[in-house]
Amino acid sequence: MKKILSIVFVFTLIFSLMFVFNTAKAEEVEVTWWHAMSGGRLEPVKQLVEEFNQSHPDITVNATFTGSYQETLNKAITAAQAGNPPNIIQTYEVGTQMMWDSPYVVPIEDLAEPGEVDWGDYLSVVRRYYTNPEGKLVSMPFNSSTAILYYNKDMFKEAGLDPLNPPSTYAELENMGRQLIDTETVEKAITFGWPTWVFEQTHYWTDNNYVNNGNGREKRATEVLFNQEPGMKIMQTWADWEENDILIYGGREYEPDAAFISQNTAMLVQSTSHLKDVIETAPFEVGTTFLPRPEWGNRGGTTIGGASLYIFKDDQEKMDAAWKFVKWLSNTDNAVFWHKETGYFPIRYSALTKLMNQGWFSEHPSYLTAFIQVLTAKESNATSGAIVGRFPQIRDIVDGAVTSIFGGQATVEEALNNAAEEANQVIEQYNESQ
Amino acid sequence: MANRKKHKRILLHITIWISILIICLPLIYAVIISTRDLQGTFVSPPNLKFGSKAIETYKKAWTTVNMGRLLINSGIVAITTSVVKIILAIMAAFAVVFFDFRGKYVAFAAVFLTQLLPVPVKIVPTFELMKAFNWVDSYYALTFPYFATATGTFLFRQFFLTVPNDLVDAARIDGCSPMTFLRKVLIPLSWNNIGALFLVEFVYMWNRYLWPLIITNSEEMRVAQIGIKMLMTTGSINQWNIIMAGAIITLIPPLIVLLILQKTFIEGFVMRTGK
Amino acid sequence: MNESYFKEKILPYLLVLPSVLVIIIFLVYPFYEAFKLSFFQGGAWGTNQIFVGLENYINLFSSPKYLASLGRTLLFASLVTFIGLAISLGLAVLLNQKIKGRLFYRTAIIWPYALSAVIAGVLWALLFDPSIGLITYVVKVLTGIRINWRTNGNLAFVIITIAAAWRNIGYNVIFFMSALQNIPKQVLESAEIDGASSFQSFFRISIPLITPTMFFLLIMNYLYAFFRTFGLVDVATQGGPGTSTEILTYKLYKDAFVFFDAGSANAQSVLLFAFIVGFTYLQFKYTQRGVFYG
Repeated sequence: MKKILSIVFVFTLIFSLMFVFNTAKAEEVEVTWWHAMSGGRLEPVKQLVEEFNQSHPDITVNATFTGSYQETLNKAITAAQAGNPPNIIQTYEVGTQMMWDSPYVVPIEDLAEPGEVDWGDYLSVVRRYYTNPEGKLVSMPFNSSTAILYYNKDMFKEAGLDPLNPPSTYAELENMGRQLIDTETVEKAITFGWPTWVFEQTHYWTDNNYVNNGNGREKRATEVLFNQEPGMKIMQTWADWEENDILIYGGREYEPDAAFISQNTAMLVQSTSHLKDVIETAPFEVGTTFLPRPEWGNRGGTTIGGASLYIFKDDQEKMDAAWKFVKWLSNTDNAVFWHKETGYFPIRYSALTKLMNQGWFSEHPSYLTAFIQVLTAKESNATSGAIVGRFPQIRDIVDGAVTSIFGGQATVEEALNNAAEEANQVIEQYNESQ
Repeated sequence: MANRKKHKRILLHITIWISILIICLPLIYAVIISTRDLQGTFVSPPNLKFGSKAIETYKKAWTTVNMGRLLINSGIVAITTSVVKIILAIMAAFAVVFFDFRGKYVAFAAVFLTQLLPVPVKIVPTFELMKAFNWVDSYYALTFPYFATATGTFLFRQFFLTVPNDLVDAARIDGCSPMTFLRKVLIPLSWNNIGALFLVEFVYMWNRYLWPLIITNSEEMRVAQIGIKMLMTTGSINQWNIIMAGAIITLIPPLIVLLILQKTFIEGFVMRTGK
Repeated sequence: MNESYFKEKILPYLLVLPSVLVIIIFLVYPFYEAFKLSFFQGGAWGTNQIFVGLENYINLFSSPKYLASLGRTLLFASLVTFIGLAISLGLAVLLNQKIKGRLFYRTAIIWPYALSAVIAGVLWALLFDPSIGLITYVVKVLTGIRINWRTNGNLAFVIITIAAAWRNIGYNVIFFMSALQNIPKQVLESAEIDGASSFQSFFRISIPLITPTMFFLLIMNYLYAFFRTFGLVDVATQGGPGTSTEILTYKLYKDAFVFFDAGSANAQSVLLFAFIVGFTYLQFKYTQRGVFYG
């Protein structure tokens, strides 16, 4: 009996120790920020947070890397349900509808005093993306990117192509790709990072909506449109390229980078946010240019990818501190710093001006590509980007369609129609549960 | 004749060496890659040369995901859980074998249920339960749900059944209380089993992934396996050198436990359970 | 059987109480909840629980994705088990010979037991990496084909199968070795005197005598492949490409914690429970019978 009691005692002790370990002391306002920045982006995030903490002694920001955007979003949802959400999360653009529908999120425009922020200084394409149908900016833009073309200048030379004249249309891409292969410079000409995202972007590039109800911008979207003519045409071209060795499917997200860097392909479509990583790792000269555009469509524009920052409901004190931090993060100096460190484009016009004055773009012309691409986008629902519930799941479904097309298990028409049907069910289910 | 036997023996050694090489190949390649810098991982064609950037790579893996803290967490969780499991298993097995009480078989059946209910079979409600207890992202959530063990209870039950009746009778006649009997007689006889069970549970708990992935949020509560996942999620090109460094660091503690307890494990666990 | 009991009345209850409490709170109750909630559906933010009867189950069994995942998991588990057991038995027989350095050899072969599924996943993902993998390169040199598991679902499936089987070799070898050592020497010696070749005595004597171990390992490997390989899939393939490596536990995780479809996830949990009950039933039925040989 005594024995049991002493065992019980020892373990009570152990667990109370754990408890001590668990609780942190709080004197200043503590703000937790869950972000998805890793690899080469982790260091700049740490630097920014440290700088903020030093210059704001009354606030301590604890930044935690919580995995991918998707994982960060998942964790935030479960934590919010448990009544213990972080103060700020960074999550990707396809989580937007879900965050808009969330009862736990405070629109940042509600936290800002009128006139406190010059919203006009933020790029229109960025503002448009994160503004809900009621006209309110819900989340703070932070890291914005778009899809551009990377190419291997050395290989272009080797194949007898002009390294200063990369492809800008699908026809050019196909011809140059053919030449790269015929001259045995490389086995496969191009690979796509985030193929489903490129598929979406190509819709917008040709000024087509991806989902109905004005790309989900007028009211809640209920159906996808990617199995209509534009989507079919885009995908058919890709399928033909894949069959003719021009295109190789390299993976869902960032994996294709490896194929480009190890010189197994001569071109790569990827987010501009990889610019620094790619340039630093590639043992050859990297060029960048606009995302190649199918000739047949009207010229629209690409929209942004990347992520923004959401503030969760909490004590006023915490929300104010969180707001202070996200506002500070996107000030002109920080936008400049962030752009230089990562390749995400600056989200403010004033940051652009500053970078130009510093002569940054003449030294690093590659960094300008993405920026011009989104600046010249036409203003339309298409280029604002699609908003729809369970977008991540839809991407998953489309990715399945893409692999089954490339794997030869389905024709473009079958695969996209099936995917659309499945996606529509998912959307219906989501909309019903709201 | 003798010559043929010798040839056979050499052939045997060669076969074993080849098997060992194949089995160890993934680890060998991992070690090699972990000594290079990022550019070094992209050399084409791939080769088996060691790089010269081991220190930098391991340092980077260590600092990027706060590996020190993660290893401590894994250690706390794995050791606490293993020890508690062993104690609970001994207690339950002791009760079942040396006492006659109403509900004995119900209790025994309940222990058996743990075998039938691994994490995925109850994952959503267990998560809800942790929310209700306010245990999300804490050591409690990482340990408590794992304290019951069917394997351990069976192991000790089987062993206790082999203890001769005379020993028990003698103890009773000497006026030895049950707890003293447990402490003075049974536990000293059980060290092999305890060691073996410790190995099994330690390796199992150290290597757990799904539950910590869901239940931890902050860096302070993360375990080493999640650290590898975090290294793998770079949002960019896989930094294989750093991922491998992280994997190797994480592999070392259970490997050491295995090397130390290997013999005990075979004598105290395999010989009993495998039959 | 021990017939000698201590007389204390309350002590035994105190001794089993902690185990029973843990089991009720952390195992039985959550499972009961899973069962109950498998008849409900709710919104992503934990709102609007609606009773839907069997709808979650009906949806699962009419979903080609779930059925495909089920078939895939059964194939995966069978391959992991049979490949793993065949290789392990071979290794155990090799290691069971009287040779110098046996202890060292044993350790060099069983160490993957210490390894987690996550690590197994990253190690094999690296070996098969489409750009820098060693095996990718060797295959390219031998056949001229550049294999790429990011696009080729079958290949991705093969990789997770190899990784999972490889990871469990250590465990299997340990058990096979001890089973082989338990075979009485006299039996094998008398077979040799009767003129049986080593092949004959292996298949006629050793194999039947280790059947109980074989069945035990069979069940353990199935359970392992079903329930302890999540980490491997999550770090190496995330279920892809497409859904070609989406095994049941991965699908369950995704539905529960990515798509927040708790109703469906709970129904999948209940179905998984049915599998375990099935395996365990087989374990009892066959290991009991197996004991007659041993």
